[in-house]
Amino acid sequence: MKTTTLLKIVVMLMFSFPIHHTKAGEESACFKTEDMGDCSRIVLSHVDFKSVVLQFVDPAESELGEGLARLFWREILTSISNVGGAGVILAYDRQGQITGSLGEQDPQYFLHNSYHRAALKIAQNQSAQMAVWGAVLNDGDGIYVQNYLTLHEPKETPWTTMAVSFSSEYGVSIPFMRKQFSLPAVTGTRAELFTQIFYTRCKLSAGCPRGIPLKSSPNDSSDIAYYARDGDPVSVVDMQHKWLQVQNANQEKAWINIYHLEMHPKQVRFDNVTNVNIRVEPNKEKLASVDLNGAFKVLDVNLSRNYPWYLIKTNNHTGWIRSDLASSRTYFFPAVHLIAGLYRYYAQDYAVAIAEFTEYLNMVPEQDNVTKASIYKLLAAAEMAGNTANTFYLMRANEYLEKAKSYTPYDASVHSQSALLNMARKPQFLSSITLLEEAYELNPHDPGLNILTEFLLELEKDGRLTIVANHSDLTEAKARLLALQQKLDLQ
Amino acid sequence: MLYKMAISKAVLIGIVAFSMPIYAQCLLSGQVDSKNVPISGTKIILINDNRVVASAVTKADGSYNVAYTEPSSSAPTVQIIVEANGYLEDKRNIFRSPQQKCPLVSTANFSLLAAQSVSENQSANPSFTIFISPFELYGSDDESLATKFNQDLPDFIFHKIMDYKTNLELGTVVGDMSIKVIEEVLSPSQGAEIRSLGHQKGALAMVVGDVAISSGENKELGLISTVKPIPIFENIEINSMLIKDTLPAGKLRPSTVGQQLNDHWGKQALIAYVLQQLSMHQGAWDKTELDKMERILISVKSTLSGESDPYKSAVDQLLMIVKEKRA
Repeated sequence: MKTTTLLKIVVMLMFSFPIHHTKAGEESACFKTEDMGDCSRIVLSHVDFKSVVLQFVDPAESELGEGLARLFWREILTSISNVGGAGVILAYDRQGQITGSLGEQDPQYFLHNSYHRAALKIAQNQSAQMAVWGAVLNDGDGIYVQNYLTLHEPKETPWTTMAVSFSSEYGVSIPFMRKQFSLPAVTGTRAELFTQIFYTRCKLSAGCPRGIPLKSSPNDSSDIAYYARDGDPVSVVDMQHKWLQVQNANQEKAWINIYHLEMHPKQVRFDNVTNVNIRVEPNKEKLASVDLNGAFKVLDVNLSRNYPWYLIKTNNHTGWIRSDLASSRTYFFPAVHLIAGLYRYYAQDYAVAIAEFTEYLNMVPEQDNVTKASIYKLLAAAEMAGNTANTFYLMRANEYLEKAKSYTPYDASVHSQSALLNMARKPQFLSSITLLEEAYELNPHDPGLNILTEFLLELEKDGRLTIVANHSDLTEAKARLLALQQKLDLQ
Repeated sequence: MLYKMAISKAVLIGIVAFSMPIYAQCLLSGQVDSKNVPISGTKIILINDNRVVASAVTKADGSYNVAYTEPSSSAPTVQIIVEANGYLEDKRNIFRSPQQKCPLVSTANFSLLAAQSVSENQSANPSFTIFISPFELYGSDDESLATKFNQDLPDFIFHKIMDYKTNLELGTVVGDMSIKVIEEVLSPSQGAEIRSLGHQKGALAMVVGDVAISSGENKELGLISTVKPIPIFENIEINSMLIKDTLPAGKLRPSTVGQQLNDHWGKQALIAYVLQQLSMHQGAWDKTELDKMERILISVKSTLSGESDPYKSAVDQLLMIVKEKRA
């Protein structure tokens, strides 16, 4: 075995990869020019639910393609750190194969064709449910990170479905989600990109008795410039691959491996948290009891306790607050909320999923009606999940679907979703049929429409339509259902 | 204010006030050509408040100079009409702002299209290319800003179209589209000329526009783009869409423009794509092709915002046609 390979393995083993329950993985051989997307090995093969973050295409020649993908990867890991059975893979390229494939092609054309295909292929290859991909573009005197999310959802194992169980024998689930999302772009000058607070943290399994090593140049074999103390805040000024260039109080610059940095939110939000203690120092004496509502800039973070503490400034006080009191955090890549919500949805942690989706919804501009509608559809599905017997949750889900319909009234899948919701509300069954008829007019190929109609035909065949319909509605329901069967050409 | 002026296709905002006599003499000069060949004897007619206020004829080098009395504040628009035998007429509006008496625009160049080269409603070689006429910048002598804007514009538009197409998962259903910048400078008021040139080029759509830059501390760009889808099929054509944006002039970045230029571009392009497919069709209808067109239209429709969406009618009409052809 070559010495360099051995070194790499040693370095990999030295870092403690698992962050709580969530697994992190990396793969550097997925971008062969002739067959982009074919990875040489399967990473995190025992992890059920995972996403893959692809290095960003870099036509701007910013050399941030890998670095920004690493930041995204780390932020996703941070946001889902306590989700068991989940993982995030980074697919990066140090051989210049992505740039080689791009060649003289139009970057947008390459991105939306070859690279998009590669993203999907890597997701399939790695059995990942999501792929994040994009590009770093020039943006005046700054850069512009264009990013996308593709959901990989094989027909046999769909996971963004809305399910209702009507009895121990009868239940149905329908797909309702788009598979593609344009994510909010990140823009700014190179310096502006790194205004977030980073903190050093030793990630070597053997510990860092002399402190965190900072290198004089961005590579593993470089000399150590100096050691930083564990937990020190650092000001990041640039990035190259897995190395961040930091500057200390004496204006000395050095490079630190991204593994040795903790990323924390730029801002935290509190939702009507009343009578909480704001402290002089973390876990020390109380400065005052305050009511918090709204967003606060994070002035500092303390990691010395079991959970982080945030230094924030209220109207009258500047002090430390426990991080677990915050309802949400602002990430460098806003789409982390959507991705974290999808992880939680899969993990059936619906309350947190709803919080994450809501957070993301608030960031989507009003004119982006399609994304707004998609998030409302997710919210409805999350509200309904496991709560179909509870009228309160059904009402809330219905409100979300009405919102979705107001944004995209001609999307057949919203109508199918509403039909399923109304089936859970038994007295509403005839309106379910109406919604299915409307869905048919909008898109006869809508999967939800076809699945629900087949399910109802099966109930009818078994003489069990009364599970979803009142006796008084049966005659009309059957007639309309048969008409729908003929239109859809179902057996 | 810029926005209001933009609505009326404004080209001017200025705050510099000059001390002038009550009736100021305003000057306008420029050059007229066709494909870089000067046209002499072209009539330049200035109209204000529904009457001709001045006229001139271009010299051998295509240049002209014309003086006219300041427009009144109640009728601040001056229309320039350019007429030359054998060429399509061109028109452009300039404005005085409340702060000054003469319009800030004192130079106006025109590139005329030869009349005989245009055949109505007939695209000789239909293509899936969107043609952009360079946007003219008013209110600033900063040529580099206009040059940069015109260089970046095709990328902005292509980016938005690709985004929309990818989001609808139509990557393999919709074929390639391209964007080209043409030399001819057209203004949004030249509806007939835009359509004629579009047919001549077999365009998927024509994009023309103006950029007005405001003066003062907080410079802003007022951007008016007219997108005219060109294909026509069975008397169905898509109306021109006027897209108005206001952008900070100091931040003419893809991100800013990208956020402003919304899904209109993608919707227009995909509807025009279907129309072009229909207009190019010959012989018996192929089910696979009709299925593809139906899928595109259903996908576009699923993103429309309601009954008042400007594309609803065109999408419904096209869906009806596809259904009929299938039957």
